Amino acid sequence: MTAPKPDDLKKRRQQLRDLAQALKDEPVGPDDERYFPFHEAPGEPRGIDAVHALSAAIELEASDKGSCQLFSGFRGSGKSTELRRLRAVLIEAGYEVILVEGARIVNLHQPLEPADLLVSVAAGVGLALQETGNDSPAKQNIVGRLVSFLQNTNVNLTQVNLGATLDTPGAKFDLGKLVFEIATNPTFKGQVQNALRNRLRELVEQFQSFMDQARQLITKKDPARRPVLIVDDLEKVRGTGPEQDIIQKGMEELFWQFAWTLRIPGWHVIWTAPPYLQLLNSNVTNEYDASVVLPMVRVWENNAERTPDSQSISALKACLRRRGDVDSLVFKEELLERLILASSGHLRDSIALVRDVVKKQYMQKDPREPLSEYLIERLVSEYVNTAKRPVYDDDVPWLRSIAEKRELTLPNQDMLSRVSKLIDTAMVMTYRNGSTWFDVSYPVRQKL
Amino acid sequence: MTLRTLDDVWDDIVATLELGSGLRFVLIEADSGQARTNLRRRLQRYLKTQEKSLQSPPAGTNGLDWLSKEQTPPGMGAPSEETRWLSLPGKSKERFFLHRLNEGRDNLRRTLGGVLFLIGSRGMLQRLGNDAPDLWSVRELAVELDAQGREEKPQATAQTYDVYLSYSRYDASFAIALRKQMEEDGLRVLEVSDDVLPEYTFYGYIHRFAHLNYYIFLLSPPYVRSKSLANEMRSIRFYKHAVYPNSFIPLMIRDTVLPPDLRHLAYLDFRTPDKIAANYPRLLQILKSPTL
Repeated sequence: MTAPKPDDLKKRRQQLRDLAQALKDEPVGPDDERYFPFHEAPGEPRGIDAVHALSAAIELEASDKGSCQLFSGFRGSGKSTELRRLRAVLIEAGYEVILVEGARIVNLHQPLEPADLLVSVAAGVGLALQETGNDSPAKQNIVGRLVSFLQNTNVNLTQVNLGATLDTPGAKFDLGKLVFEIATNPTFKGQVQNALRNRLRELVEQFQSFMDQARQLITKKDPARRPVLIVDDLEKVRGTGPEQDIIQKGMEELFWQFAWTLRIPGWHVIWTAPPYLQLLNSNVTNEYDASVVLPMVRVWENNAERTPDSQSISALKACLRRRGDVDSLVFKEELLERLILASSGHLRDSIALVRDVVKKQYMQKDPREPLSEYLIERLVSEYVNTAKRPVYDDDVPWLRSIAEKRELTLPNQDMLSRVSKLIDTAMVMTYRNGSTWFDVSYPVRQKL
Repeated sequence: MTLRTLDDVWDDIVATLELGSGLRFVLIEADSGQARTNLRRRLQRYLKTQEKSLQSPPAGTNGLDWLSKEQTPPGMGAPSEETRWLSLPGKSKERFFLHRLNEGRDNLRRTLGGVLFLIGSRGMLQRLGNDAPDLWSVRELAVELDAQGREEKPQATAQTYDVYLSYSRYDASFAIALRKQMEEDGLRVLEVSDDVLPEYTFYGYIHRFAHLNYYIFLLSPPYVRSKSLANEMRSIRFYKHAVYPNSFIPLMIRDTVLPPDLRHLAYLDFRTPDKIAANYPRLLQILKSPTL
C-alpha cells in the first residue's frame, strides 16, 4: 500500500468541506437540488402527503366562502420545506398565495391573543402586498386602508412614533416599523391587547373588512384567482419557564375557543399550530375544515420488534444523497442505515448525524478512509447520550407507556405542559401508515 | 452522559471550527474551572495558528448585551465568522439567560456567524434541552467535559477491563458481536479497532496492565496485514512475550497465515458457526481463569 499523496488528501478535505456545507441546517424549497420528494417515494414514508391534503381541501371548496385549516409539524421535521412546496403547488393551480412569516409579525415568546394576532396578520398581509413588485396606486392604497383599520380599532400608534403619520396627508406610513413594534415591543403589544380585548367582535369585523379589500386588490386582474393566506411559525409560539403554562393555555384558547376569529371570508387560510394542540385535544380539529400534522419519516414498523421499514430507509438515504456523496463516508451502506434508524426518521437529526460523520472523516489522518462500524457505533452512542439529556427520570413512566402502547395519552391536565414539551422536543415521535401512531425516539428508548 | 476528556473531543471541536458556515452552537458542560481553562487555552492556541482570536465579553459585561453588540444588523453585510466564548451565569440567573438566548435563536443565526461556545456548569445540558429547546435542536456539538479537564490521552485502567480485543475495522461486525457476548458473560472488554486509537495505546496498555488481562487478536487477512498488528507484535516482543505467554489468545476468524510472533501459540478456531459454538465456551473458560 502506498502513502497517500498530499494533493489527494487536500482534495478530499475540500470535498468534505463542500459536503458539510450542503448538509447545513436550513429549509430548502421544492426547486432546490437538495429537496427530496418524500411524497413520491415508494411506500409513503411519511404516510401522508401533507401538501396534497391541504391543497385538496382548498381545491375542493368550490364556494366563495373560503376555508380554514391547521397545519402542524415537529421542530426539524421539514415543515417549512413542505410549506414552500404548498405555496408552489397552489400558485401552479391558479391561486394567489401570501405567505406570512409568523416570526416576523408576532413575538413568539409572549402570550398570543386573537386581537393582537389579527392586527399582526393584517400588518403582515399589508407588508407582503407592499413588498410584491411595483408600487401601484392600488398597493399604496392598501396601506391607507390598514391605517384606517388601525384607527377604527383605536390602537394608539403615537407611542411608537407612528401616530403622526396617520393625520398627515401625504406622509408615508411605515408599515415595517409597525410590524417590528408588534413583534418586538412587549409594552406596545400589551397595550394593543388591552385596547382590543373587550371589543373582539368589532375588531374581527374590521379585520375581515380589511382582508376583503386586500382580496379585491390581489384578485383585481383575474377574479378567478382565489387568495390563499399561509401563516407560518405560529407553532413556535411557546413560553419557557413560568410563562410556559400561560402561553400554552393562550394558544389552546386561540385555536379552539376563538377559532371563529381565524376564518376569513373569501380567503383560504392555513394556520400553523403547535403539534400538541391537535394531538392532545381532538376538539380543536373539529373547528377546522381540515387539520394535518406532518409525521416523521416512518423508519420502523408499528410492531413489537420495530422492524426497520426498508422503503422509508431507502427514501431517507435518497434524501441524504441529494446533499452529496454520503456513501463515501461509511465503510458499507448498512452503516448509513444505522444512522437513519438512530435518528428515528427525524429529518434534521438524520442530516446532523451525517454531518457528524463528515467531521469525523475530515479529522482522520487519511480523510479518504470511510468510517468503520466501530466508529459509527461510537458516534451513534455519543448522539444517543446527548439527545436523551432533556428527559428527566420523572418522565420515564409516561414515555414507557408510549413505547409500549404506541398511543398518546394525557394522564391528567397537570401533565399537559410537560407532555407538550416532550412532544415539542421530539422525544416522542408521530408516524403514520394508515392511521397515526406514536413511539419514543431511538435515544429515549435507550433510556427506558 | 459519558464524561469526555479534552483530547477525546478536540477533533470534534476542530472539525466544527473548520467545517460549515453560519452560526454553530457548541455546548460545553464543564464543572471544574480547570477543565474550562484547559479548553480555553487550547482554543486560543489553535486559533492563533489560524491567525484568529477567541472573542469573549470583557469582565463585568452582561453576556447578552455583549452578544447583541456582536451582531451584524441585517443589510449591513455578512455576519463575521468569529469564534466566541460565552460562560453562562450562575444557576440562579442561568434560566433567564437561557430563555433570552432561546428567544433570540433565529435572530442570532441571522446576525452572527462562526462558532459560539456556551459554557455551563453541571447539568447544563439537561437544563438547556428543556429551557432553550430551539437552541438545543440546532446544536452542532454538545459535550460534557470530565471534571479534571485532563489533557492526557485516555487510558484504560486495570479496574475497567478484563480483556483487550484487537481487530481490523473490516471485521467490526464480528468483533462487536463477540464483545457483546463476552459482556453478557460478565467480562469487561476494551475493544480496539485498527482505526481507533493511536498506535502506542497497546504499548501503554500492555506495559501497565498486562499482568491482569488477556489479549484477544481476531486473525484475518486484513488484520495480519495491518499496521496496528505490527505495532502490537513489536510491543509483545519487547515487553511481554516471554513473561506472560498465556495472556495472548489468537482467534482465527478467517483463513490467513499466522503472524510469526503468534505462531508458537495455539489459536482458537472461530471460522464457522459450528466452530464458534464449540470453542466459545473454551475461550470463556480461559478468560475467567487467572493468567499464568
